Amino acid sequence: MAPLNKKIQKFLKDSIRVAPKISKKGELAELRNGLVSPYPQTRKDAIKKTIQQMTLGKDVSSLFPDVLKNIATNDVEQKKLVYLYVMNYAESHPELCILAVNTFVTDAQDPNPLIRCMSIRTMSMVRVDKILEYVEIPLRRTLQDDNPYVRKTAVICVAKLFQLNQELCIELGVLEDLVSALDDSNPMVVANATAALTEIHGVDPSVVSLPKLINSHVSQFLLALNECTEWARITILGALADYSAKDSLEAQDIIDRVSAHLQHVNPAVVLATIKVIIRNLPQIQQQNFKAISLKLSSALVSIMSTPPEMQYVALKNIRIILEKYPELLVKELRIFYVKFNDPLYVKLEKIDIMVRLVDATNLKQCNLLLTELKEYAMEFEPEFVSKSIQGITQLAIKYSGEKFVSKALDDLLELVDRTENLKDDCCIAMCDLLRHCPTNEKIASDICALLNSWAVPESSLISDAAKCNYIWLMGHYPEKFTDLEGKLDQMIENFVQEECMTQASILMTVVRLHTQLPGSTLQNVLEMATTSVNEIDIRDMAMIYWRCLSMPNSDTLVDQLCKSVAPIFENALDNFSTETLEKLLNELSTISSIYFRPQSVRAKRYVLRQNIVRGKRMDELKDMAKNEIAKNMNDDVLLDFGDDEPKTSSSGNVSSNLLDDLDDIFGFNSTGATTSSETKDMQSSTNKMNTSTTNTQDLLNLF
Amino acid sequence: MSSCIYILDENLEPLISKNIKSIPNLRYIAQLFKRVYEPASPPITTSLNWHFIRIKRDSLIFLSAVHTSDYDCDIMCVISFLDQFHLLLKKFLETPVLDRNMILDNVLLIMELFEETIDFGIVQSTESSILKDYVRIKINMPDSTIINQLRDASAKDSEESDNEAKKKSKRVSGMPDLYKYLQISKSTNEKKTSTKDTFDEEGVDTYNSFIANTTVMPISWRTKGIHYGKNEFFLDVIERVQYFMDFEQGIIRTNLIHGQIFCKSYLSGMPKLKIAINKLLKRDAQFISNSKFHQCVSLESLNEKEIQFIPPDGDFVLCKYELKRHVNDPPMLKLSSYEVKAKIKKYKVQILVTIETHFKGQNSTSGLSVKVPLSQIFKDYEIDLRKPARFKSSTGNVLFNLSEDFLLWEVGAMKGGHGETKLSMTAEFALFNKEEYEKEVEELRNSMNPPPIREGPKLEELYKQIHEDDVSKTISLASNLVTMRFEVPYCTCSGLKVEYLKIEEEQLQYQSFPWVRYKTVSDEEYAYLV
Repeated sequence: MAPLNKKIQKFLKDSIRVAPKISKKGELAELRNGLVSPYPQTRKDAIKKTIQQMTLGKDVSSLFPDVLKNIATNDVEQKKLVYLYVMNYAESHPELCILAVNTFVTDAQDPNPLIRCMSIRTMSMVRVDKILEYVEIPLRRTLQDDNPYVRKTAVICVAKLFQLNQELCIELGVLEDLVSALDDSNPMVVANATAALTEIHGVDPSVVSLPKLINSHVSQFLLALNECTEWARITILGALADYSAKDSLEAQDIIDRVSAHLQHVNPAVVLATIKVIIRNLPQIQQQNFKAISLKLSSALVSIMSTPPEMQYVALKNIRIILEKYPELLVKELRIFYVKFNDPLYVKLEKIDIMVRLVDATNLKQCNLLLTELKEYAMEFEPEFVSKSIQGITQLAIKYSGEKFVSKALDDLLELVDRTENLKDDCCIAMCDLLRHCPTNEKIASDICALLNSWAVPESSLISDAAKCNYIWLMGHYPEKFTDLEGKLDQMIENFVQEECMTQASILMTVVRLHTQLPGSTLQNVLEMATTSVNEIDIRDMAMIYWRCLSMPNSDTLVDQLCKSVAPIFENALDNFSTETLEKLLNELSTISSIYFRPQSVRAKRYVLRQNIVRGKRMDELKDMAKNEIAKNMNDDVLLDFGDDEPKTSSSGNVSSNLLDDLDDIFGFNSTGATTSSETKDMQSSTNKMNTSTTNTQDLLNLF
Repeated sequence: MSSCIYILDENLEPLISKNIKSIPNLRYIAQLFKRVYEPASPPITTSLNWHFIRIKRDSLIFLSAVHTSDYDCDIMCVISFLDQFHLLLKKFLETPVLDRNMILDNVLLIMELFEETIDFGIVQSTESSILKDYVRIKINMPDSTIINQLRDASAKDSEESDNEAKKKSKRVSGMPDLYKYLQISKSTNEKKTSTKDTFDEEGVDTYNSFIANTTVMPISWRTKGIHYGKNEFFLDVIERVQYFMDFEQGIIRTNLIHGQIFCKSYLSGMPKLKIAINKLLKRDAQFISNSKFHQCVSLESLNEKEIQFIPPDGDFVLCKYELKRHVNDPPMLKLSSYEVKAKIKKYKVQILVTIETHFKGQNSTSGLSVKVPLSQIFKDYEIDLRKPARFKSSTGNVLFNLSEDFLLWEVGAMKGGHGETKLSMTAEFALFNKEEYEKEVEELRNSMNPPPIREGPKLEELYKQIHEDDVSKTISLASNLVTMRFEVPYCTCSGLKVEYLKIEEEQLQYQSFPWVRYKTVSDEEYAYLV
């Protein structure tokens, strides 16, 4: 740059600096003056200030025409700002937005690709029907643009348009253009097209046959994979995970091509890669399995050194993968040890994983884990402690050796001794252990000795499950308890207030021991159970017992009822059904993997829930709508809901269900409860109309 | 994919929101989240028709709402994006910690960043060096915070920042226009005012449309036409050692190394870099399977025992790795003895702590501090704080933190060795002597003299005040840990070494200056359970 040139520039800048500055207050009048100022610098400042006010939640929609005037500029930055503003208020000022359409359409042909992108990006986001009608030509043109950057933006716009107006989108036939974008030479365009198609497929699977398209484009995907941004890779890997390989060779090929991505730094890329590999794993030759599972395990381990939120998702997914391939992480137990600064939700998941992960034939490992779990049980977060104690039982039952079980029991006894408030959890845990080895005399007597020593069991146990277990134990080992009658009586006293598990347990135990207890106890319990209990199951149970007891050969009958032996408690860990597991494996990293509920199941529930909860939700929404109206009497966004209504409902979009509800409510609220506010609104809107028409004329002159 | 994204403050008030899928009434969704939010709940919660996915960073919550009908949404991708966006904001705002006001002051900047990074839920790019070409809004920071930050930074590692500053000033001179703007805000405050005008002249330029090409090229992380007067490349290998040992039982629970290779690239053109790392050359299986690389690294090249890449401009993390250490590998800093000796007869309790080093003798630690917990001792013994506690250490100072019950032994530099370099510290507290106390009370009651004047703060009263509320609180695991904080420069715990670093730029053929540094630091979890 020549020095003279620089000087001239400086001179020009200095002369412009005379332009009035906008103060920080952001008064509407001042902003309006600024927006129409003859100095470009001032206008730009004013736009910035306006948008700042907008994002702070202040209503600056009345400046719409003035801001819009600034859209015709060569300054990209300023244009960006105006677009930002237009997007925000387009809904409330559809009539004015029409004026911007012209600029949108011209900008879509601008020689600068950035401007072309911006215009099409904004245009397809505006929830105004009339604008969407103009979108056809620009969209079509940009889809065929020479510049891949523009094309990659345009393909996403198709998905946007589809979401806002399905019919229009199909009518225009841009979906075909989108499909052909999968064959684009540029990998980023391919990736975005895939993402857009996935999005559309999610809204309405009948419109595009995504699985078919993926099938026919696998080679393009594999090629594009190494040549695009990390985010695009996630999309492409996601598509590849939906593809089932034809034979073991192809499966192996896919795995080989993607497995380098296991070493990517972004955990989302890693998880997406794992998903692809898991999908193809059942098909490959057995001899290659080992090498791949090694890679998989180190990739899974590496996600454990990410921030806790990602660890949480990873742990959930590991849980699913482990169920299919339990040997995968057997050597990595240590990685899942709880750190003292882990958040609670990570701690809980880690315990779950460790118990599942541990090799039940490896005593050393089980011992290690047991010490670890015991350590956790001495922490202070109650949920964490409960989970650890539960983990100890699960582990003991998994390993199953009687020696190990008694070791676990010793630990539990020690824990109860140490901390007062663990009684509940330990009681449940110990009874579970006993159910696992019902024949072991020592375990039984140890447990009973401890529980017998508790002075007032009904006040030291809080949870339903713990009480239930305690009573169960009394019923099964009555000879090991002293003052059995007294202890039972304490429990029976609160019979009616107890929860149903405890009630059932009391009922069974009393019937079981009826020969050892005074007759009045049995009579009393049966009476309470049949008359004062609300739970139908308990009443029925009591009825049956009563009938049995009043039969002629009641003793043998009751004996038979009570002596039936429950099957040995073999597995304290819950598993998925094979069908669920297969589905979940295909849905790794999605929301299904977090809640362990595959899609179809959830979809049904979703519909169901809507029907059931609707009544309650209506009330909530009504209240909210009322509040909203009261608060923002001139909030244009809300008022315009009426205008949008036909569009959103006609598009049949699931996502707008809730909003439809709101719209409906608003509909009858405005006629009923808030007539006064409506009249005010009417006034204000007519006022606005007047001002806007004058402004419109201004603008019309401009174009 | 995400329907909308919010940044919320601690009180769950939305500071900024981005409507990604044209959802009407964003406010309603934020209110819904506020109703269902519980701090301890998992990062993914569902209410009505919305899944809320959130991450908590600094004092802010980054929240993404996904509609329940969107079954295919990749949750990991959403979280990863929020995380990257947070890092991006920190880079753009040039601050180590974000807060509420920074967000509110830079609303425009953040809105534009959203616009460029995510389109209809589909993430486009989070590469800061590229985005800096698209988003050119000036950061808006109150001057005081900048000064504070500078002060903080310099206090942290004055030596380092001096060097950095020197280097930086050199770099500024050779910087192209495009980068001037970024550099200015980095340099000192005084400079800022003076250079502001020049920036106004040159910085705000029309957007060059060639930047649009970069994101769609195979090398999406680097623009063409970067030029520096002096071509430098800085590579820092930083290893974080995580170590956790149950001292009583002698069981080592964790012994891990988290390594990261940080790079700062100030190179012109499209340079190709080749780095050889001894671990990779020797085909260290553990390293190969537990390392992660930045997207710029051609993952195929790893098979050729070299890391080949075209670096993005500026700062980035080239590689992250995690190495397990053998249980018998000694930790770099070892607690060799920890004893609590109670001399009941003398009414005293002593804590003896000895540490030793296990790394090369020519290196030494910088900023070593050892935190010794006291809660257990205060619980077990009746300690009389009216009498002064005494501390003795071979080097460094010992500080007594009354409110959080620990001793901080600030050692500073400690030489390396293989167990022969030892340092020890002794702390002595007086035990409550009932007889003596009663005698004193008796004396005071009978004598005419005023009670003796005590100088200094009355620790016992302070202690009482502070610990009044938490009498019943049980002692958690965390308050029984001897933790160590340290840094060992010029040394990697794993022995990782960069064998060579080649920089080649075919067209420009310039001379370049690669710099390699090593450092080992302690992880948050470097502790002994006593």
